[in-house]
This record gives sequence, C-alpha cells and structure tokens, in this order.
Amino acid sequence: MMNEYRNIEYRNAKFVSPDNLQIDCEINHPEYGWIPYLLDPSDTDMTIDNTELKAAMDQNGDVAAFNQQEHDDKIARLVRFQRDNLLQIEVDPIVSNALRWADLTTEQQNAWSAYRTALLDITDQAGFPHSVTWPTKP
Amino acid sequence: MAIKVNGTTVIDDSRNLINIASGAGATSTAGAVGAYAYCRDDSGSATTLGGSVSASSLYYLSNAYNGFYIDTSNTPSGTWRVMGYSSGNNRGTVLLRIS
Repeated sequence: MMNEYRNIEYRNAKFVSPDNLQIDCEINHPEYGWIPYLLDPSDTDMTIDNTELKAAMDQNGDVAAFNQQEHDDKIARLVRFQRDNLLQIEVDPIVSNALRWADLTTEQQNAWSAYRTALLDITDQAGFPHSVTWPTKP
Repeated sequence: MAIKVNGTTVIDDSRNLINIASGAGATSTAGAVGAYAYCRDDSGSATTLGGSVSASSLYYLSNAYNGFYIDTSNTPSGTWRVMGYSSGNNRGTVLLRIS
C-alpha cells in the first residue's frame, strides 16, 4: 500500500470534461512539490484523497469553468492523430507498394482509394470532431 | 509482528506493506501510482526527462508495426513522470505515475 496523502493544497483548478467530473489542477505534493494533477472521480488509486480534494474545491468554489473550445481542439487533434495513423498503418503499405498494388483488381484498388479519401476527408464530416464515422477498411 | 523503519510501520501484523514511498514497480495495478504506461502526450509543450505532466493530456497507446493506435476507452488519471522525452505532440513515450 502506498502513502495516503491528505490535506493537499491545490491551485489553478479547472474543469476539463464536459460533464464537469474531471478537474485539471496543480497539487502541492509532499514529495514532489507543485505538480500537475488530473482529479478523476473514476480513479481508483487512493494515494491522493480525491474525495477530500474535490470537497475542498467545492467548498472554495474556485474551479474554472469548462472551456468548450479547448475541449473541441483536443478532440480534433485526437481524431487527426488516429486518422494519420490509420493512413500509415493500413493504407500506405498497400498503395505505396507497387508490387502489392499491381496484384489488386481494379475493384480492390478503387476500394482502397475510396478508403484513403474517406480518411483524408474525415475532418469534413458534419459531426467532426465529436461524432465522426470511420470508414471501413477494404 | 509489525516491522518499523524510523518509527514508521512498513509491514503490519497482517504482513501488508504500508507507508512505502511511491516508486517504479511499486504496483502491478495498471494506471495506479507506481505503474508505467506508454502514452501519447498531447499537452502541446515539451517535457524533458523526469518532468511531470497531467494525465489530462495523455492517451494510452498500442504499437503497430508502422504506427500507433490510441485506446480511447481507458484514460489515465493523476500525475505522470516522463521517463524519456515528450515533445508535447509526440507519438508515444514511457511514463511513470507518481501521484
């Protein structure tokens, strides 16, 4: 069992999830001093008493409001990162390999081309970034 | 019989470890303090060896042979120490949860 730290000081707290459950802040850790910290109610680790920390924040009422634009930007970066990886992992080995590409039928080549285009255009979807439909790999 | 170090009990009468300083390998529980993880850091600012980042900028990763997949169904919590180097927009780095 780890140490269980209580009465932790905090500063610069702000809600970072739309449901106002996760709180980003800095805590004055007994071993490490001021460090960034994500308070998450689903965290099962009890090294820091999150319940007590959250209660102090509730009492002080000093948690900054959730910033929707920051959240949207974060999700957009995540989707682009996923998209770029799918292009590298799944598409490039097929379309960038002349021998493998030549082995495909025209129908298969068209399917891969369509898949690649759909991935590139994922940021154009109406629901981007929060609700994107990922294309199906051929 | 409990075992004490400098007056602090470190093994109790039930043979449980208690009051042990956090550190690498102190747990085998994924995501807990003392656990390592391989993550993408999306903080936007570089963190050098030994620096700390909030879990709010981290995503668990898995490796593919030429890329990475993000695990969006599980998210880390707390504070993590960079055990390599993070550019703040990197593909993956190894971290240790310290708080």
